[in-house]
Amino acid sequence: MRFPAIVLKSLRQHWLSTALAVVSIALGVSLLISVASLREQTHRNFTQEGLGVDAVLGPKGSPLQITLNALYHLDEMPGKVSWTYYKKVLADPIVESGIPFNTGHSYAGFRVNAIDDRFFTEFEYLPGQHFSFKPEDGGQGRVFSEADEAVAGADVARALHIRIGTTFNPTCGVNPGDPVHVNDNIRFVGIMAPTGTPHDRAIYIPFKTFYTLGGHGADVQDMAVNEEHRLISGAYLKVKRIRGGEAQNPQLARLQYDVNQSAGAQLVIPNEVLPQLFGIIGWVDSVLLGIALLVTALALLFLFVALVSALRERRRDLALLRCLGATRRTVFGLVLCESVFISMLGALLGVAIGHGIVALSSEYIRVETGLRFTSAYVSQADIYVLPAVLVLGLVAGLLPSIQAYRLGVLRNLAPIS
Amino acid sequence: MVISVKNLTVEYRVGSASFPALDIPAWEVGDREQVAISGPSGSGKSTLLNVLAGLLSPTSGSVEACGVQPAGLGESERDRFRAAHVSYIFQTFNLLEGYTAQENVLVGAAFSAPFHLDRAEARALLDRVGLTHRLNSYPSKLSIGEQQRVAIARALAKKPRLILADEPTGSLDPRHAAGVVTLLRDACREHGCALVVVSHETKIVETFDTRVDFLKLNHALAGVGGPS
Repeated sequence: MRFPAIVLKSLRQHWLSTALAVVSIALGVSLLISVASLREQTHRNFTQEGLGVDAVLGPKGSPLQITLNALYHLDEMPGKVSWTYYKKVLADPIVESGIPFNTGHSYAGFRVNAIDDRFFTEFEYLPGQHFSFKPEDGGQGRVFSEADEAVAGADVARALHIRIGTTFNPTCGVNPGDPVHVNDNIRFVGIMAPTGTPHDRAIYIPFKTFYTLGGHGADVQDMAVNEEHRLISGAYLKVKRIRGGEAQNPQLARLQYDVNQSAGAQLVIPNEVLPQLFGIIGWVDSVLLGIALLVTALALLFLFVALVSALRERRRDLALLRCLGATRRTVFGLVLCESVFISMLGALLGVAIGHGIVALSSEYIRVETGLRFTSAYVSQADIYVLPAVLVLGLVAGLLPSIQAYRLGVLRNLAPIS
Repeated sequence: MVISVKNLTVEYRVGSASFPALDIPAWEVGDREQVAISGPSGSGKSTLLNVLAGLLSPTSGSVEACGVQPAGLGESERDRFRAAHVSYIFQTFNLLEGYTAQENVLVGAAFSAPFHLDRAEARALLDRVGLTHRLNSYPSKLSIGEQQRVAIARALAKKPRLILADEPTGSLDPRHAAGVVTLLRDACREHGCALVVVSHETKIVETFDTRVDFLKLNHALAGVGGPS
């Protein structure tokens, strides 16, 4: 009988405390893994190339509010930007292109954004990635071409069971109780292939349809044709790359300064704003991570208590092994190996459960927020958890191992022999 | 000689007071010899076995077992000495509760590297003690007699030079007791190992027709020869 067989035998002998220790460690580690993974993937989701946008031209107000509205279809735009000012910014030498949009409408809880149709041909939601309507990509239909046509993001289509030909009446506003454009029946002609970005969670109508919807006043209707009076919610801007590379154009800071000095608009760079969001919600992250660490620490404390208590029950067995010729080092190693085995089994199980939690919650998060998470993501916790639990398992097993090492053979056999 | 004892004394200390437990001027056991030690309770029979097994250090004198002086060894060397040369059988068998009969035999040789006992050999040993049908039974499912036979098989597992048996029949009824001692003696003879049995039961001692030594209270007298 080899040493590993004796370790396994011993673990089986007090299987209940072994199982409880494994489960509690797995629980702690799974929390740690899932929190770390969701945290890092959220950060990555919110900072990935600004979701295809170098800068957003928007009204004066909170840059974070503009970013959330323009890119994540959350919150509301704090105002409007004049078309003439947009054209002026577009004429700046470093601006490669712009896609104007109007927000402020909704349908069944989803935002209805009026957008220039170049959004579907030029816009890159991720580097090199354009929106698709191809069935092989999961899309259907085509881009809108008439004023009363619309396309739906993949999540909207799935949530509302939208098919090509389905019609809807947009709500003038984004809050419950806002009036509905009852005379404007808009027909879905396309469903976008999933992108895994918040763009999947919006409905898109032609840019000028925003102005021509029934119920809008004459001044708004006029904006469809009169560019001098036209107001827009904002525009996505693409800035020329320097030397054909991916580096941010240093002139962007100058343009941002110029726009922000003006009275009617501001230039928001998402990659600068989004870290602020994490600054605001960072404490939630820290609390969650703290709870996960606490649970893991408690689990290891439980392991320590379980080993000490098991040792009390096993003094006779260990003394008997010594009597059969096991050295002090052997029984020391036996108890330490049990601790390491329980820790590592718990940690491996915890990693698997943690990724399972991410897999289960990713679907829910995707439906709710449009952000895409993957259970295959390897977080910092994945890299450090196994060696960390190994070390902590060794620490938890050290005192019981030393007690086993010091165990007196005769004293623990004498009452029986 | 497998055992050679000279001027052995053992004293137990309680606080500043010391109590003599053993005093043996000279005592020897030859290779493959089988010896019974008898004496009243408290005469030091178990103490002697513990000293021979290296589980207890003598207060004075020299003890040599299997060519080794256990008292002069460190703790780990004494463990290795037991692993290599000596098997111990207890009155209450001391089987490992979480191990089957076969596993209890296997663990008997687990620390005697490079010697290795495989499952077939463990099975053969259990077969020798008449427990082929009980290979996978746990101690709680075995009768007391069966448990002691597993303990005998475990003692033989590492092919020791010396088996020390402390009241091996103390928990058995007289009918089974004689059978177990006969089995133990036969097995030791077959395996070529010396046997020292401690017992206070006259009927057990009488079966040792070759040699019986008597321990008086707290000191030894060697009575070489048949039982008297």
